[in-house]
Amino acid sequence: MSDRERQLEETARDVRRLEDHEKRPAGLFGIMFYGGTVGLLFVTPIVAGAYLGRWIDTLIEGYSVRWTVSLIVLGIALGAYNAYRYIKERS
Amino acid sequence: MNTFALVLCDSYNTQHFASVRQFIGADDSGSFGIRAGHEHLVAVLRYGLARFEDDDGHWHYLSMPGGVLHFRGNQMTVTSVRYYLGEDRAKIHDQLAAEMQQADSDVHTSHASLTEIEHALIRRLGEMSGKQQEWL
Repeated sequence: MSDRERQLEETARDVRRLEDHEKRPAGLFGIMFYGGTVGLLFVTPIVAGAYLGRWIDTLIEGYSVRWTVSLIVLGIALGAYNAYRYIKERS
Repeated sequence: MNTFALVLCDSYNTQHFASVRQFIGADDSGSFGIRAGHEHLVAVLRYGLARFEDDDGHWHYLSMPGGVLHFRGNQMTVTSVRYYLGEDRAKIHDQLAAEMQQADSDVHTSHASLTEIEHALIRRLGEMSGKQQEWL
């Protein structure tokens, strides 16, 4: 086999290998990792917002959930944006 | 410092890429990836396809008959006899075959021209020697 034929053959093989790798469905571990990351990205700002809001509300005199609700809503928005960015980057 | 500079060299030309995010190549031990800030490295790349991602997220595919990769000081140099660069992975094999055919055709044309020049030269020398004999 000449050098050129070898280069053509090896290149075609590498292209096939890359395409097969991309087409192969993700394994259970991959799906769990991906789903877990998306979930964490979404949930973390919500939980952080809830805790921060609750703490601020305790500092205010009387009963208030204004900051808790506001920061939870902000956390949902931030979490959704984070998850969207992650999914977009990965796709 | 998330990017590094890449220089591709072969016997025809040299190409510079100022910002490369990652390079994925393969040597005899298998496939490996390199990112910015890597330690000093020298590797002998095997026949086939290597690829790198530029700062805009575009992948470039590099087909070569082996080569030497050198990474130092956040600059990578890949030296090969001849490399073919393409952005469409699906088409690189056909592009490579077409470029090889074109190179063959160029060599054939050059060879034909050279043969023609040689024949013309011999004819001219023959004519000149004939005239010289007439003078004598």
